[in-house]
Amino acid sequence: MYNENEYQYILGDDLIMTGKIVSLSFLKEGESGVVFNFKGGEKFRKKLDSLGIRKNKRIKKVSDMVLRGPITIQIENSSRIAIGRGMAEKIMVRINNR
Amino acid sequence: MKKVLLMGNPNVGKSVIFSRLTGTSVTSSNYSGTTVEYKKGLFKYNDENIELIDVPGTYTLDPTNKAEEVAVEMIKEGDLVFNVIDATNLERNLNLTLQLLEKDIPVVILLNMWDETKHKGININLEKIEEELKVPVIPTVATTGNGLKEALDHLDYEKIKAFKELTVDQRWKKIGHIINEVQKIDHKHHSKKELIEEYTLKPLTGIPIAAFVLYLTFVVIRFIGEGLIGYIAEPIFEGPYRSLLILISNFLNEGGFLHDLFIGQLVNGQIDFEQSFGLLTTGIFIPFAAVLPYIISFYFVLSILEDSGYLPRLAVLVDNLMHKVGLHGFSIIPMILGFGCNVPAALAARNLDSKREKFIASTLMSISIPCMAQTAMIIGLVGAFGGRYVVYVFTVLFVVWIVVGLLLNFFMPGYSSDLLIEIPTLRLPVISIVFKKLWMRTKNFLKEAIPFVLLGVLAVNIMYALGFFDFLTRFLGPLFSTLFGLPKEVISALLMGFLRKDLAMGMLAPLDLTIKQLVVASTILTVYFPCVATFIILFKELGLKDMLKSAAVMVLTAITVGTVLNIGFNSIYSISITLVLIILLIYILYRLTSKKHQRIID
Repeated sequence: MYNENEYQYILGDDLIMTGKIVSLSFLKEGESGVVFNFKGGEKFRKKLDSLGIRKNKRIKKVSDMVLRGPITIQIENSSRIAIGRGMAEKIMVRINNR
Repeated sequence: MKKVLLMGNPNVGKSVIFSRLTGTSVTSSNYSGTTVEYKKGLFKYNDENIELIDVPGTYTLDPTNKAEEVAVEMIKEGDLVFNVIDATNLERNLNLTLQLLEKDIPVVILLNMWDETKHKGININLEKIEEELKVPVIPTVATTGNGLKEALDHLDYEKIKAFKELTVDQRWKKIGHIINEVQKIDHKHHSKKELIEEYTLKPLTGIPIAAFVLYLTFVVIRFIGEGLIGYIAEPIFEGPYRSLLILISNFLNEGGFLHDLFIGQLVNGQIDFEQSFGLLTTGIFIPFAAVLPYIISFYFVLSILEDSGYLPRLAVLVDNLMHKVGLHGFSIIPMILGFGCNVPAALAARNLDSKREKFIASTLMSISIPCMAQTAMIIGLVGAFGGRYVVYVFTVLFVVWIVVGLLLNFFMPGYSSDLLIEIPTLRLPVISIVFKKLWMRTKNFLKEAIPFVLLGVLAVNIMYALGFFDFLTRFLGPLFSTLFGLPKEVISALLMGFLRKDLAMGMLAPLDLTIKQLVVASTILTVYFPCVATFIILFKELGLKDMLKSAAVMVLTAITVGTVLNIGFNSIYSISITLVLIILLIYILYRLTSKKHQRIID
């Protein structure tokens, strides 16, 4: 599907976008992206799903606690969720090239 | 009786609605066979008795934790579901709603936080949403009570709209369709409130804010606590209650067995509430006049913190530190609760995810968190020599907390789970609900703690009369005297601390100890055992084996800390020596237990 961090994908039929896939922990404070996929297992995915963190959801990183603390995200039109660093590293997000 | 289930995601205002609908006849209990707690209340509507059950908050009926498993079980017992959903977060909330509609039970939807949709530029078409979901949808504002009457008019709603069961993907697709039909969002710029909310989460601003909030918390607790003591408790005890006791004392004759039991020893011919040690004197005075005022003020402030939505933010800020000791951010809750009373704190530890976390949290809490009663006594005892000694004791306790935590985390097998919590929006607490919570908590405290205090005083009086303390003092006294540099009389106070630490500290007051001895004694008292009430809870929650392990850690830590403080009271090395010794002792303890472990694996 995607090569290294650069990839191309098709949104709808005619909109072609480029972006970079990074883990949530790489996002800067205030930066937003779209959830691309998850590296964890089924149980992990289920937990995130119930909290409203799903593929193609737009999220914004609100804060990144110092010393590898948890990451807080704002899900578009939904709630704010704090996620431990380990989990955040398993959530892959597509961002536009910086 | 009709059973109505109040169900919904966490943080949607469910418990506020519950409080508004039910009177004071609320009981909270564990769901059979689990540690999941839920609340039950009764109310009358049109001469019909209704039982309302506050089901634990759930995101999904495909359970991801124990609370959600219980929620699924409870559906089978209910007659009607009031599904509370957050109107400002429709999409995620509808996930649970659709799952509920697939079940064999009538559902009425309470579209809560209706007032906030306007500020957020959210428009929801009520007719369309009813049409899509095919059940009554009532807009409500829990904090003001708007819409709750209309909701109650649907109490006899009976139509079951059992939708066909969908797969996860199908369900989200359907939700997407419903959202498109019923909701329109005008984009609004970041509101001031949202900015402030983000400031509470960012490290650079969040940490100073948290420090300020905690400082304010303790100032307010102290202010209210002292106020209650000075203006209510003391006038009652020194006035009418003392007169009553003098009558009883004269009637029973000083020196008799019953006089010793109920009134205790007279100090200079007078009843001394802190030192007489009778069931009716010290036994009543300590819990009601010294501890209860602080408990009330503590729970008041805690309820405000809880209802304002600030606590999860605190969890995020301290998550990192908590991970170092094998816990995660949310275990800050039992720790904070512990400053009030260790009993509810030990109960709160049950909500943690794993057995390991429960063990670490309860052990650390019991060792290093002085309850309100202890804090009051520490301040009273060593504070008389200057505030810096109070700081000294608390610093030592904090160092002990970190060191013991690091060690437990290092030597116990397993790892701590990651934090994953929703951060609710900040809101002004509803004062009537804060008071209701305060009443519930205080009532529970009285029910759970007071009998143990009285039992403790009774037991101590009997043991005292039988010469048990003299025996133990003679037996253990020399050892502790050399290790801790304390006179023998203190040892009986320390032993007594097992029953009630606050009383034990009261016993230290008349002994004319030096400041060094006071610091050593009050630190040991805090560290070595929780009071008997907490102990019983630990036994219930952890089981006998883990409780004994936890107690072993407590005793080892207490002996180490006491010895080190005695040797190096004024030296800056004292803390580092503490570290080394505790590391050694706990290492040995875990080597001994883990060896057995290895043998089993081999």
